[in-house]
Amino acid sequence: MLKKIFVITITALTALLVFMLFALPASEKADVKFSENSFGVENIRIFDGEIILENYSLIVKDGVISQMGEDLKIPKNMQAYDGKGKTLLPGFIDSHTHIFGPALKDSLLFAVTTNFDMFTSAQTLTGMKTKRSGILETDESDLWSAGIMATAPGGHGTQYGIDIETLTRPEQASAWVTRRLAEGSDYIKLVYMPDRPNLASLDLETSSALIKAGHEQGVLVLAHISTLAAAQDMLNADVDGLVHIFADKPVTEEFAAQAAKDNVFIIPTLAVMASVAGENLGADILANQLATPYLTSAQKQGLATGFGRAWPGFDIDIALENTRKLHAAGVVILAGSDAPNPGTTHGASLHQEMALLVRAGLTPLEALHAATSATAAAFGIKDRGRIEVGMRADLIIVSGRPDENIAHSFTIDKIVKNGYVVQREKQKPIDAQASPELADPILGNFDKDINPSENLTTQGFAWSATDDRMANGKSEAKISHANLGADETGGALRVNAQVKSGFFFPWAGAYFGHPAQKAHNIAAYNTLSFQVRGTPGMYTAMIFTSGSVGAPPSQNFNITSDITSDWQTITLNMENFNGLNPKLFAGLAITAGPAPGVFDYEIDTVTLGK
Amino acid sequence: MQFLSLNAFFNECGAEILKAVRAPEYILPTLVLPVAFYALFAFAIPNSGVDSARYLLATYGVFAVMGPAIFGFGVGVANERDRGWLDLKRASPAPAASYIGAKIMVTLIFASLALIPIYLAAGFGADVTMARSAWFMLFGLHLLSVLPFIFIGLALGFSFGSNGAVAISNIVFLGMAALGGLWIPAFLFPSALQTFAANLPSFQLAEIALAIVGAPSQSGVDRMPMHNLTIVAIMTTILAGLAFWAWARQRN
Repeated sequence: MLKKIFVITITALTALLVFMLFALPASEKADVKFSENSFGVENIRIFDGEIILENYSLIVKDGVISQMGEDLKIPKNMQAYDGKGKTLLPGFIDSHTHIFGPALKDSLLFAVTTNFDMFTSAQTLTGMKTKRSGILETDESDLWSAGIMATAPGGHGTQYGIDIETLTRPEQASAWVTRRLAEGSDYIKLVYMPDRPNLASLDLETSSALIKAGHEQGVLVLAHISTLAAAQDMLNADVDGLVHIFADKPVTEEFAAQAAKDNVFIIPTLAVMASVAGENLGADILANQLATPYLTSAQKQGLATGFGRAWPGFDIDIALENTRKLHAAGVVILAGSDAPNPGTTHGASLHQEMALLVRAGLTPLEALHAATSATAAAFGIKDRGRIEVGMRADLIIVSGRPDENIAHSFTIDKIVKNGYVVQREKQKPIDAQASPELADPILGNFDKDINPSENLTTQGFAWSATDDRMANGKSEAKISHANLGADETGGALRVNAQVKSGFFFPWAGAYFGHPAQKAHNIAAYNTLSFQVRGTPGMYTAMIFTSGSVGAPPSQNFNITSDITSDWQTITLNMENFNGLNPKLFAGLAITAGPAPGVFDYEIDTVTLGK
Repeated sequence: MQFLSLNAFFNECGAEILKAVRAPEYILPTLVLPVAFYALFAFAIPNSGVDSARYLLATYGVFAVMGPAIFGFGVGVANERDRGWLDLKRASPAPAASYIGAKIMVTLIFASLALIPIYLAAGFGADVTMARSAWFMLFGLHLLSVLPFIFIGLALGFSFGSNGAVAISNIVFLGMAALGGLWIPAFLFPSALQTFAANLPSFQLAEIALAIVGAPSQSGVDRMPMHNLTIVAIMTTILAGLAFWAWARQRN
């Protein structure tokens, strides 16, 4: 009986197994089905990170470059591309960015497959290392990051509203570095600006202690400086790299020789230098027909804005000249955009940075090197930056010859990340994203009380108080209803603002906005006018657009009368709100600031005019 | 007395099958859980295409045979030892080899039963297509994967009482599955954990299975299944020695 059970079971099971194994779907050809991230390219020029290889072929298997050669046969059933007349390069590496919002997506659409972030919130680092070590399909660039940067209380870096642990003494350095590495930071960035008036900075002892601690814990330490003297201090303290060029003085031969000997790399960030110096090169990208169709409206706004004024101590010609001299002396120069600072954006600005390196005196080939293999080598990254067997298939195919004319870097034909071709489509024109017209040109006459429920306009906008506490600043604003308005019949909006330093561009005032940030079209209007009176001083009007991040387009105006005097009419031209996309209007702020002080002012008849 | 009697062996096998059928609550979870997990990860989760269904077929196949092997031996032998059944067996004329041999045969049967639904789900549910030879090789490998786990089960069964064996078997079973990269691909692990995974037979077996299904290598270096096979052979020998040692120790 027991024997029978076994014999029946084993016979039935064997029959079932054989039947199943023959019934399962089998492919005709044995074992040759290539994964989606496998392909071949024939007859292409290759920039391998160092030199040009003519008439080459290349095979990518499972997201990794598996074969290269002049006579290479692409397997019959593998996806093959004809590379005739085109150039293949390693995916670009931006050695200086700040990652917020859609930055990793935006940069990949401009062939930047790896970002070296130089300061972002610690939360941004979540999952970064897992993602960059895998070879999976993605629509984002890979990330290495410094995490939060080392700076003094009130120093550069504390103004962005990011929670940041500052330090003041050398004894704190070692534990500070340990905490950053625990958060996931790949290297340390410190801010050393002892010679900037009105800005706190780490002192030399603390900076040196950070460099030492970083080295003891096995990571690179990079420094943000803005003068030759500060750069010299950092060089003497054994820093690994400088994340900006200094533009206050011409570089000395001794400095260049020492930097070359110590193998210190420099990321000049010329695009943002130009922007700080008041030369807005973002406009060049906006005018480039190879670039604009792929930029989002938020990116376009970022490119159009500037720092507001030229800052002393930043001379773009000195920056270019210093870059040239350092390069000539053999110092490693890396391409970094410092996006998204005003005038720059992720991805596209790295192409501009390469062009600026060429303007500084590098050859186009050297500029490409600075944006690919040089950066990978400087940061000790082994699997990218080159076209070589065993490298991750992060690569670009362009239709031009960027090694001869750097402007051709924009002629992007294909972007490949981890072996997968990246979908790159033109952004939909703004007109297609229909936003309703803002029909009522009167944004506020304050005839009624400012109780929000009564004061909602027909399209759902309302007035409220706004201040920089939302960005971790210390300014405070209150709004109330004043009975006597400019038209002497209804009321006005009264603002009590205390502008305090604590945020880089402090503000406190009144905000007119849509609670859901819904976009409205105000393209039909040419001016913004309103009546004001109050504490004399400088004020700021800002316009916010839907979906944008970073500094909004703004204009300053002055109040000359005091609060009991006559009303003053301010008319601002819409054109002067640099970078404003009027089809995406979502709000308006009339604020006191950026100079600190106590401001009491009244606003009335805020109107859009034609 | 013969060392191996076919008659005794067949009878032992039949008895083991009958035992499982009469108390299905012990064996059912080990048959149902793997295919349920496989179905969840291979097609219930969005964006998991044919490639991932094929990848997971390789690793979940190893997972499926671990259950019958570790629990069948670990818990089964511990139970029988606790109740004195093993002493009785030793006194009976039935050869010892048929006792172990029948257990191995029944483990292979239940391993097959656990594998069948996964293969059906992969082939007909997730449209996994492979060369006929690959299907056969993969099934053969999965079936043979019971070996190291049988020795692990035996070592546990001879070393612990029935209660202890249940707990320890569970830990070993789950640890081998999770840390060996059978549930979530090992290349997604932090690098320290990846180094650790390489010491587990489950990981090495999964690597061979992945080579058979032609899954992309994540390191850029092609898979070396013969290398993995050698490691598994060494591990299995060591585990067999461990099982023998545990058996010899409990006798005294």
